[in-house]
Amino acid sequence: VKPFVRALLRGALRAHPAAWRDRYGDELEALIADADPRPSDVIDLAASAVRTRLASLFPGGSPMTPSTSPWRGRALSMVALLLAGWTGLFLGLNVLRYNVGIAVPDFLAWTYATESPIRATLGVLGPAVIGLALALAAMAQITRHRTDGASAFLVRVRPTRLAVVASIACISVMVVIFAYGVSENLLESLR
Amino acid sequence: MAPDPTSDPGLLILVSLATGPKHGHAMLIDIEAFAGRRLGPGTLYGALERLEADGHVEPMSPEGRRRPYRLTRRGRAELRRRLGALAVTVRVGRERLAAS
Repeated sequence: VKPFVRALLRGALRAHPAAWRDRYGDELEALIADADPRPSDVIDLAASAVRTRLASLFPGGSPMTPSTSPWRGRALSMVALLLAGWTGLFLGLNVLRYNVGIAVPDFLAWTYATESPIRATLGVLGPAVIGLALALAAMAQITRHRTDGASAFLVRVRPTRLAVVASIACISVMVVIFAYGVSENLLESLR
Repeated sequence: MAPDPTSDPGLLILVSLATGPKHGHAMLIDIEAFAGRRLGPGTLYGALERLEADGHVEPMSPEGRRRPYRLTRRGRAELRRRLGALAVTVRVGRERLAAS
């Protein structure tokens, strides 16, 4: 279990902004190797990643590790990750409601409902379009940084690349849910 | 209600460093020993970053990958101030309990 927890901790460490990792990454790597890791540490370090990323969006928010990447790219990454997080939560709640049978309030699980194609369409298409726009914008950021050279690309684009992955995952999930909703509605109308 | 002092990672770190410089893992062990609370790695370094930005602690030269931190003069004064405020709360609380 401990090697697995250590691997998760290293993953959570990599989710921190690059400037923060440059300053504290080595120390934290040593701490992860020395300390007896607990699963709760993974949540703690993941929360730290979200906190430091949010802080890096604001001037003076992260005084010891000011970010060197463009404000727009960082904001974009954060929004994309939040969108992906929302998608994961949304999907999880719907799986709990429709596949496991656990009660979830209607307002949290309404786009999966098949009784209204309009509701399903609006609920799924809106976030999907936002996700697509974010992915395109994030890709534009990568293209811009790629001209800085290979090393700069690896160092500076990592958060934005994460945004691309998050956005694409988000869109994929939404498309699957949308397709499911539409097919269910078609089947309903044919019966 | 007065805050639980063990819920303030910054205060715990200042107390830990009052006995001398320590790196992250040594701080975690020390804090768990005297406060009975194990800080998570993100909480520890989040608090360290704030304390460093406020000038209460300063990093020393790294020892391999481990970097010790020490209290600054300002950090020592801040620790005295916070402990003084807690001492007043403890004294008043005890007096009121005794009187009730």
